[in-house]
Amino acid sequence: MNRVYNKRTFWLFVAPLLLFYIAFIIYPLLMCFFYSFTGYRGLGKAVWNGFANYQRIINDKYFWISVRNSLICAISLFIMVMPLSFLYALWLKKQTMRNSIYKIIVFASYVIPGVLCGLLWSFILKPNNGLINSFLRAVGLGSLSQNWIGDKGILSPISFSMVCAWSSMGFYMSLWQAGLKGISADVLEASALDGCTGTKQIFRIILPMLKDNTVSIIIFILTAALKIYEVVFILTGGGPAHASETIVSYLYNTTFDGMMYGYGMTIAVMEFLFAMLITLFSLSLSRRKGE
Amino acid sequence: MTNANTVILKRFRTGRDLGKIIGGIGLALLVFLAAVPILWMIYLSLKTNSEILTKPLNPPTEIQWVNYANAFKKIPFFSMVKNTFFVLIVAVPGAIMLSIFAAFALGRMKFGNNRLQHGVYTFFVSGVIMPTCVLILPIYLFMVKIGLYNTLWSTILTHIGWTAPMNMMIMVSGFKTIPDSLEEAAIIDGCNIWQLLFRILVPVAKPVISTSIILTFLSCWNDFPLARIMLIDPKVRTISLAAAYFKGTYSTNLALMTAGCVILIIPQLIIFTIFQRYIIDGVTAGAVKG
Repeated sequence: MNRVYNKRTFWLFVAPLLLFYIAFIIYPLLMCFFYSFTGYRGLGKAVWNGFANYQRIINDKYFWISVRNSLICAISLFIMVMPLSFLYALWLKKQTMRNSIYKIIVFASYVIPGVLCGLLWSFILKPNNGLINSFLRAVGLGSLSQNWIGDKGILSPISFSMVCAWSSMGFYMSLWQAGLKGISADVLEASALDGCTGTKQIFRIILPMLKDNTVSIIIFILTAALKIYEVVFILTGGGPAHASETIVSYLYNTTFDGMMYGYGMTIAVMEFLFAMLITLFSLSLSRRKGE
Repeated sequence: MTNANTVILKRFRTGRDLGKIIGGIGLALLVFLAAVPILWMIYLSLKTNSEILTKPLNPPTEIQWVNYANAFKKIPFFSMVKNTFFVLIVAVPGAIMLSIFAAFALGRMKFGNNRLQHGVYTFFVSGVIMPTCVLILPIYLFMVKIGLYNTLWSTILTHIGWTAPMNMMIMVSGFKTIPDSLEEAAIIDGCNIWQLLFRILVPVAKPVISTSIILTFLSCWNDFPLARIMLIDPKVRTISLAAAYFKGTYSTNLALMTAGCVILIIPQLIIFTIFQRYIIDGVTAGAVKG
């Protein structure tokens, strides 16, 4: 074997991809950290200004609003996705013709790009003539109609996560189903014979057996919420007055529309740190599992 | 007596059937709910602009097929689709090819104490947590410097780099599970390194490679944050990017906008339906491994 493989062939095969990886992930990340310590605005040279940007971000009201909004996105995404995707998975478990058609319908939205999802939902969420409010008014519940997008409070991030929940429902459903497949029919039969059926069976037998799936779905939801951008861009653009920014949309608007490269990269570093935090959280969970 | 019994029995049966029917209807409603956003867009696209604005729920007084004719006339679908496919046709095979090479080296080449292989693998996989939006500004400045800014190549090259961690994670474990005996037999039979890779290993690793293809395809297909910064000229706009401009350009012509969205979405749904088994399995397998 050693005659075929040696260090030279190894590097020959690894180098091309490694080059791309360094050029488009490692190098930009280092540059991102570097710019975050400068007041660079795209002209001239990037001048080092120490921790000025970091001092600024601590007192930046809009940044903390964007963090709050991303957090609301994560929580509401969790509330919407967890029970519903599990229900879909459970109900569509049996492999029949009807169920596979249903599954295609539920999953289909996953392949539609985020921008188009946003456009689709803009016609549902628009306060004056969107589907939800028009429907509520038509059935006489006009008082329940809401300012789904463009509100200054927490409704906009909830609307964003509604769109994300819709587009990723099928994905989470198939994650649950991958777990359900692993539970043997014997276990379910035995528990049913012992009188454990219906919801009792779901909560006492099925969910405890799917602990790993539950954890990984939570991690996916957190990461997804941290990356919400397209929907914000289409539905509110972060407005009114930055009230509906998520971390990523604020990062974008500051960096590219505000042309504040240095400060924008400080927001990017924060985004990176949040991603690291989620990873550490998931690692600690999986380590505890290993013990 | 017997009569009463059969009545009770019948009632019991109908009760169970009723439960089944209600469950079936509930499930159908839940699935219908998932399809509502798309159906709603199709419904709106058949109405006039003022009907969409003022009476969105009411059915159209006359079905407006003309919206579709107008959309085809005004929206440059051809160039959107052409640009998107150019990116996909270069980036997906490019990324997969380079990933196969690297996975071959990292998963199969055993020499020394394997510390080098393990180190490089860890270096690759640590990138999987990266929120890519963080990287766009430095890449943008880099692309401006080397003159690829505002060309499709800027997104193609970036996607090859961005999908590397995910592809390594999926493919290396796939290559590692191939039994050594297969490889030894091939070498004894006189295969050179290329024949070994493409005739023996790649066919065996087909399932993981197809998972990688699907995930790479989807991440190029769904990209908007990168394209929005890199591709400024309307001539190089991809589907996502051009659709994002619908909002500004056709905000007063919703009939055209809805028809345009439907024209973009329907082919995607048809393609998805054809390949749904592979796509769903691939996405799930990729996520479970991650």
